[in-house]
Amino acid sequence: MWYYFEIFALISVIMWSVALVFTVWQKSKTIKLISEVLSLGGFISLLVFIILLWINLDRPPMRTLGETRLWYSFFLFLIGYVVYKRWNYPWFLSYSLFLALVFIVLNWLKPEAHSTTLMPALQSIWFVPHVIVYMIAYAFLGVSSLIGFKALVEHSKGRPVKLLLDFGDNIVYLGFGFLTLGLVFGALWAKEAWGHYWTWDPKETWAFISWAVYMIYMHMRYHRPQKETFHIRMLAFAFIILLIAWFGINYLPAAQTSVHVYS
Amino acid sequence: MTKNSKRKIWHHPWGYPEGSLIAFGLLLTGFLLDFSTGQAFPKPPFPWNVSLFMLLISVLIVAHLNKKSSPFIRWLSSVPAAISALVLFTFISVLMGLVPQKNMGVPSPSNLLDSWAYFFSYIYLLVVLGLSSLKRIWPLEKRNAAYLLNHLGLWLALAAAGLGAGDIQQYNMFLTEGKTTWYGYQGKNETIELPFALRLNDFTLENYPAKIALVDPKTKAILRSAGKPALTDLPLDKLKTIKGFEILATDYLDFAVIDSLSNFIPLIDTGAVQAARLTVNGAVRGWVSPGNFRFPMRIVPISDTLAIAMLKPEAKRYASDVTVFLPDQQQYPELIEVNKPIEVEGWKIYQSDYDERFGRWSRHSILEIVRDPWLPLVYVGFYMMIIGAILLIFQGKKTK
Ligand code: HEM
Repeated sequence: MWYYFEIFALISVIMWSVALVFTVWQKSKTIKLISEVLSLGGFISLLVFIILLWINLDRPPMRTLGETRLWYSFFLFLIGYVVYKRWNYPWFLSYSLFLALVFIVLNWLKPEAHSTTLMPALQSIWFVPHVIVYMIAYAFLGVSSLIGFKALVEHSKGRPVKLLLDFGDNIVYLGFGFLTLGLVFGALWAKEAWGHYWTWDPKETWAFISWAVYMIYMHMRYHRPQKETFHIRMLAFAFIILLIAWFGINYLPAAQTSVHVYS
Repeated sequence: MTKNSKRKIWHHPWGYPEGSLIAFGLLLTGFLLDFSTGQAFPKPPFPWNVSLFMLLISVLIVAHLNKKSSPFIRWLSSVPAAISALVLFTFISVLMGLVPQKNMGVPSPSNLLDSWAYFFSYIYLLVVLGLSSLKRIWPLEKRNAAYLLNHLGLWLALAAAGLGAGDIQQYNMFLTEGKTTWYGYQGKNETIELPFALRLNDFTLENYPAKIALVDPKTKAILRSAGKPALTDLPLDKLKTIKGFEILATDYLDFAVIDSLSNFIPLIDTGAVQAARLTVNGAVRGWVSPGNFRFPMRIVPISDTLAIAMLKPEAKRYASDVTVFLPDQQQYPELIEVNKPIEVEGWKIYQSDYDERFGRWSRHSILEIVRDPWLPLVYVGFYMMIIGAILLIFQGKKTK
């Protein structure tokens, strides 16, 4: 059964890879069109895959790291595509396609034994909104980090980066808004499931740290917009902290006692 | 704004260098106090914490009203101060995120929540965030809505969570089927008599079909395959392959007992156990069962070094069916389930645990009861942050 799902994931990977190449070398109108069709095709295939997985597991596929990665790719693409359409940035679509691909391929290299069991603490109305909101936040902030890297390159070539950073601000504000929602939803859920809204459990601690890092970034940007070199670096690398909060945590010594480490 | 290089440090207007030094000074003082006193900073209970809360608000308001005459107060509500406070608080959080924390009275690197350093960074954050919020309160303008909701909301949540910590009460209740209990326990020696009583009518637990795994027949340790434990959901109706073995469960009994011929037969009887009959690579191989307090474990041997075993079933759902008794002779039934706490007389009551040895046949239920009178205030802060975040998403950045 799992085997049939994987075909959908494979279709996504192939379509997106080709689309990625086409978005980078967008020579003619036809190629542009083909790349859009292929990216949407890959997206639909991923969507079908997620729906089938949900039905097959008979629970939201949001428990394990691999499952959250699927959603991550899903939202990365969605956000990339909407931003691309809205502001007509072809490179933006390339970047989000690239990131989305990385996370699908990660799932290929590290396949998950998708178990259907879901422990009682996770069976809550908060489960879906909490995870979805976080994945949207991660997708925005992941893209903002790519903008940071693009700015890093432009900056090293002596080109102006103000517009890129301003664009990055829009993405960061969106991502940070969702990050805040994820954090607060998590706290409200924790109160219902565990009796307290905040226990400085390692996962919570790192979630707070990544929230704070973006908070620091936003305030620096607001206060000293002209310090571009600093902002570019911070924007590019802040995402690393997010990655620690998301899955680096599973490898930290402090997390061995965490109630949050599933799978 | 004047360039920092032209301004001597500690000459107003202050900027980032002063912020760094103040944050560093607070950290150092905190650690010195931790080191010299060896005692947790006090978390005052009611009424002291309420007084402190009022005092804090008054100090912040008075400071705010006098900021025209004091460049220091003005600085405290500036972004450089905010950054210094955030970096300090985040730094301590990073320490907590790296060193495993266990909360036990004396402050130490593995108990930072009780340290003075944490306390100072918290107070500093509250003061700076408080003054920053006040700075945009008056005149009340629509364009400041997102700013105020985010900053005041966070301030309220932080202040109420911190000051309320001294009033949180948390106990366990141990219930036995048929008995009525009105005591809570904390650790070994602390008990509390509660303003209500609970009678456990029935403890219920539903299991998932137990997983199966490849094990070492002697030690019963789960073998590994490709770096992961070699286990899988019970392969009912569909073949599963682990380490090259195609396994299928042809029969599955959720409630089974062993008859005189050592076969598993379906029967709902106290101590009934889960069992499944397996075929391996097409050939019938017999029953597996995790066993329990009544029946022994049953495995299917494949070779001298390999066997298939059924793991202890995982709980799908468990709940306590109780009757609540109030002081005024009132009584009513309730169901307490994981993720669905109930509230009685200001206490939130959570399903926490049961007697693991007996699993679904447990006649005991362990509840956790929590009283947190400051919770509504914290939640107001949370709701403000939710609205603030939504505004942030829809409004985006406003340029200065
Ligand atoms: C929920 C977290 C936070 C969010 C979403 C947030 C957001 C913002 C935003 C959007 C601004 C720009 C103001 C504007 O656009 O009108 C700002 C300014 C500011 N924030 Fe925050 N902030 C947060 C937490 C904090 C904290 C923790 C502090 C202090 C420790 C702080 C202190 C400040 C200060 C001082 C300003 C400058 C205000 C001014 O100069 O008028 N903020 N914040």
